[in-house]
Amino acid sequence: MNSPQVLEKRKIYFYTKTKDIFQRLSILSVSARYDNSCSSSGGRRETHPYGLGNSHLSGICHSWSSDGRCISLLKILMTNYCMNNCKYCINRLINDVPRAILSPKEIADLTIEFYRRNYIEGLFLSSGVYRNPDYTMELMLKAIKILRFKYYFNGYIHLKLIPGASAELVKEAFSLADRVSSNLELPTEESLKRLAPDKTFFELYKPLKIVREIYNERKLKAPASTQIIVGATADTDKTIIKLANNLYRDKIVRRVYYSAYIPVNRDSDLPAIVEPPFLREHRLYQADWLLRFYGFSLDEIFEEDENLPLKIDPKLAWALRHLEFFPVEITRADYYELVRVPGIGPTSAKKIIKTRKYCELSDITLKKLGISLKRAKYFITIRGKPVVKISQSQAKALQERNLLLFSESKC
Amino acid sequence: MLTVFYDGTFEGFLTLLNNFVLEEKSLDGIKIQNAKFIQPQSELFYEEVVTNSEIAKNFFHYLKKNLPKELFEKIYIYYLCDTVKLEIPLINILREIEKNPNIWQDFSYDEVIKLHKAEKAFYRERHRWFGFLRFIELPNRVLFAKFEPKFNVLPKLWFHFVRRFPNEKLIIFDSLRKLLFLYKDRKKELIWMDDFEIEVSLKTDLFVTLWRSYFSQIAIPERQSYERQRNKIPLSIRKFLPEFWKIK
Repeated sequence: MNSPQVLEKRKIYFYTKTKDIFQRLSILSVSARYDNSCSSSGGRRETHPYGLGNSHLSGICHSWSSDGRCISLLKILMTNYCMNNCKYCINRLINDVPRAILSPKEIADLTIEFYRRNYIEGLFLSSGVYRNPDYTMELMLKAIKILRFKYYFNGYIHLKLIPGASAELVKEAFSLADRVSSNLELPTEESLKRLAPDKTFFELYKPLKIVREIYNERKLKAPASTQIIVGATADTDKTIIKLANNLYRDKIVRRVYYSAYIPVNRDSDLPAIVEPPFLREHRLYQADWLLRFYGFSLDEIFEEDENLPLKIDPKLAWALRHLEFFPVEITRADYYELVRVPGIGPTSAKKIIKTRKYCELSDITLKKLGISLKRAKYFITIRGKPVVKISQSQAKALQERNLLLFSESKC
Repeated sequence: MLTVFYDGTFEGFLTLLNNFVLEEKSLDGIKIQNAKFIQPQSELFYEEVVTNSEIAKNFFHYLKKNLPKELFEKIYIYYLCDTVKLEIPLINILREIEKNPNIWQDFSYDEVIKLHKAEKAFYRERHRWFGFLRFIELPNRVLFAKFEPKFNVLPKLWFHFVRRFPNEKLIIFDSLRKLLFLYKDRKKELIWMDDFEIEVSLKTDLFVTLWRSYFSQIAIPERQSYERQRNKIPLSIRKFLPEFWKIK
């Protein structure tokens, strides 16, 4: 069944360059907002003597929108006209939505003026596929070239690579931008066939592969990212995280973004959901973090189930499955042992290791350092002593419970 | 209780430290205040430290010679954390350092933790203003920004903007401390200025309206969470961000 939004192609109206810039900016920012990437970190450009802009290594957030997401870059589409018909996408060809296009110069001017006022850290430029992938990529590159070579702008630029664009254009894009990305959209070929029939996994993956081949720093992950939609198909969390793990292992991307499926179209192939799976998205980010910063392996995260538990985070779930690993003695444990304790992350682990060189650790010292023991206290000891103190009444209750359990087992 | 006031300048701060560290004035029953925030006349019993450039300079060299390099570099930061009252903890640490050179790294001392936390909060506040400072273009293409940071971050903040906009004319004004930064033709100046005011409105700069429009559109309605937004952007600083201005 077709969506009520669907109109015939001839009825699609197209906002031309004459349309007021306010309206076009509004249309194109609405179309761009479903891209989750917002990071501006990792750039290393210094200001050009005749220009403006540099990048800050750790990235800078300039504002937070009403959905609580950081605004760091001017996130915008060149055009939301698109020749593809991806069923989950607001900009698909058959949708009757206002369409608009910004010229390369307009994009460059807008970026510069927003940047001068310190509203943004740079530009995130994506686009629908207009005419053909090469033509779209060339238009986008024109905007970037105006920024880099006319205005000598050295601020952060994130450029979306258009799947199907030629290798030369991908290389040029990579040389001008600080980060590039190509969204893999869905974790398997079958899912893509079903929801994005114009796309293939190979086509989406190819730009990332080209970037990996030309990136000189072989030891580092390529400065690229990708996004996977969660909950639009029946793919399990393990399938999604396995794909992300392979991308990290092969140093194809620095970051995988997970985007909870938000229904914007009606289609029989799309799931009928009451609420977008935001909690599942959150758990996937937590699992992703465990892989990248906590030294966990894929098999450790998915020992029993193909999906992550929603009620508790994946680290706590692992800890409860592996009580033999605990308690961890925090005066002696190494970094990787410490970060496995629920409630202790990399920052707290580093603080503990640094502090124990100079003074004796105690629960009071840890509190003073700002390390929360709310969850960790059940999994650690300090000089052999547990941190959890049980009151007399609690001890009595525990004794009674044990008695009850004991008598039950006897029966 | 006697309140000791210093004038809020770095020289005044060093003179104050000199009086209590080298001249070993007693800290018993003493409260130290920065005159930038509270007028001495508001206290019943008070004493003012007379800023002396020569004493400040000598004490500065004394610190350079006697403190570990890392700690010495933090002294200026502790001075800039002017709203958290670090003077007494710092005096206590400087008095002890001769006997215990590693005291400034020992987190079992409350003073050390207070200094450490303040330093971290200072850099966090500075980083926040890297992003939150908003320039408005005045008719002569001068970029003007007004803000009220929690700490005196401007001396450590301007460098970021000068490096980023080397060919612009900049005015940055800390209206809480009346500290003004001017930058034009690659010349920079940081001055205390009591009466400085520039009126700005939406009509002053048309890009403000464009930015407000972009800001309202970029949020995903299904993800709306004002609570998360409020955690990141406290209400107190929203008056400096045009995207939050309430237009009648």
